[in-house]
Amino acid sequence: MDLLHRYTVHTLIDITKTGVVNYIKDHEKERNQQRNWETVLQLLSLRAQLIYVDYIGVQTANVEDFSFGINYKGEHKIWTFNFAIEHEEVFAIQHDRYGALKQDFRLSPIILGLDETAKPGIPLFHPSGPNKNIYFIQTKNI
Amino acid sequence: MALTRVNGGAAPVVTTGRSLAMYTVSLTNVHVSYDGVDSDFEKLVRAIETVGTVEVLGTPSSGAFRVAISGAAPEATAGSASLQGICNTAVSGTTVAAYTF
Repeated sequence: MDLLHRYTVHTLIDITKTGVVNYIKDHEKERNQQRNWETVLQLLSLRAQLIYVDYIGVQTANVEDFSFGINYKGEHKIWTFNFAIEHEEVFAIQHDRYGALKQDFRLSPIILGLDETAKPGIPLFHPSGPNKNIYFIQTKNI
Repeated sequence: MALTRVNGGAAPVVTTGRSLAMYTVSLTNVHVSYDGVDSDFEKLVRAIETVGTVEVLGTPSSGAFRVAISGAAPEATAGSASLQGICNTAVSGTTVAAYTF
């Protein structure tokens, strides 16, 4: 197999992978968390075949140690996961290696009112700007 | 939202009326291997995106690149000094100057 290109994603949106893929009474919150997770996977899959997805989980940390928008201050819950693809250039627009990812995520709707602590004004992904609530880093090739 | 077509149709340009702030970001050797994973250029772009949406991103050359951002919080772009502080935190030694054309 060719080299794989691995990316790490950090977000302030609750994308907990609950595994609840159908509506179950009394588990609507878990279904909505899974919906957000599925939204992310679908957006990533618009341009690439995900070879593996490694859900890391959630941590509470000072957002100023990360690269979120300046409208967020102090400690918040941050969800993190890794994924890998075979062709890294599919996400690039000219010299911005994440350009297409930002385009796809920009203003894509998400569900709020879950376990997130950082509240965007409106329920959308913002991959850039003062309300930036998701970003991507290519970590290494494997 | 009104859309405006300009340039006589030869090269159509559509604007959405958002204010752009343009800057020249300078850092020694920022153009060297700028397309590498987690390069200084990439770190600076990531930092700039915490204050505004990057609408236009220039190619790094001769130790500098230009960027146009929109939707920035006023306190972050009151002059280039605040943006420089953010960039300097990301990569020490970076200078930022407003660019006009």
